[in-house]
Amino acid sequence: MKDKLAEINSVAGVKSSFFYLNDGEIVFQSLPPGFDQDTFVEIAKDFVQMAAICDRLQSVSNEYDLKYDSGRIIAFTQHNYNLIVLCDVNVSLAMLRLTINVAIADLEADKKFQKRVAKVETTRRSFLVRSNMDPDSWTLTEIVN
Amino acid sequence: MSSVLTGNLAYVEVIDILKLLASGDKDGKLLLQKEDARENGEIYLAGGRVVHAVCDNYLGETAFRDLVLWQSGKFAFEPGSTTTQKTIEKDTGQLLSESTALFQSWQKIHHLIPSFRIKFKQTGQEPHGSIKLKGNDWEILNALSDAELSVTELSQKMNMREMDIAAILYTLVEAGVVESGAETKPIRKEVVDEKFFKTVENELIQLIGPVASIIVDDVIEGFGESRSTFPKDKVAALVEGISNEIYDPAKQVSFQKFMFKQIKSL
Repeated sequence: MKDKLAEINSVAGVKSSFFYLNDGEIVFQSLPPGFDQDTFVEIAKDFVQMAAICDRLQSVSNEYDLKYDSGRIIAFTQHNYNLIVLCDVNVSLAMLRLTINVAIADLEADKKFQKRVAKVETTRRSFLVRSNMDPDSWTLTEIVN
Repeated sequence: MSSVLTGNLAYVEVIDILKLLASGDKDGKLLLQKEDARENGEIYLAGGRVVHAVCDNYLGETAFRDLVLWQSGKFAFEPGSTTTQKTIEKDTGQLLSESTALFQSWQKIHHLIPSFRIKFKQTGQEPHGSIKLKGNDWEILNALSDAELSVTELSQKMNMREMDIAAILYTLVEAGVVESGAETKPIRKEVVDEKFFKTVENELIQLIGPVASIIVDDVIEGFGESRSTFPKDKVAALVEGISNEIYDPAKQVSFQKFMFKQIKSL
């Protein structure tokens, strides 16, 4: 699967990317030296929580795009695993989506990976439990409810 | 959700589409996409009232004003799409009437500034009569004191939208303190070999049948291009556009996998 991450990282403007499971475990990563993996585990969990809230809103989107002055964090969420891509603001989104769709199709067909994913008991829904959330996120969830 | 009303903004104005939808008390989402697919916009209607708009990083009326000025790209109306967001409170009749006036002003600006690549400079002349300048107006005038800059260059330098820069330049040109100069030469983009489209078409025929060539041409046209002028840097967006026309997910992935390899070898 590392070759798939290499494909994603070769899209012009992509700096780094990683696949992770709903429980935050990073399964494939290509973080360059200097990137703090723990920080990204936290970011990864925040995205799953965001996806869980969007599920509540019956949103069908599985793409979350956060734009900053100096870059973008784009998350692609699947049922129980996710992908985060760190990239430049002007990345070609169409090329990135195409590359990711191909990579995800290969992952879906990868029995070993699917077996591993099936073992993850953490669902998105479990991120909306009060004990797993900070006060602001909990307030937001209550509003959504 | 499927679209019932789709088309090219080169032939119909956003404001006219909205008037039609509002008069029919429609519910749904009007999706707008620029040719290069890098900029998208959405306008939501509920019972014929405009309730929400989003464009790039802008929401509400700001986004709405931007979107009604688009004159190229694609549009599609998805009936029944709803949103929980309500960023526009203004009465839709008033909003559409203001937008019509804005569009007409934009046409005037567009007449004077037909391209965002035309460079502008100070004339060094006194203004015709008195003009009132605000903060941004001064900054633009200042920026043009020792350099010739285009709308695009000013937009990047001042971190403002090109449309806002163009509106200010229009006032400054009308006042006689700024004049237009040469147009910056567009960067010649590499175009795709026409044989590429035959390959796309052949693959697509296997998946969806003989309508493939019509779909390919429609999507190309949606980008405001033709088979002979299609730039390489839009190919991925083209593939995305064609993929959206394939409704079977397995066939969609198969097409994307095939095209991914083709793009790599371009």
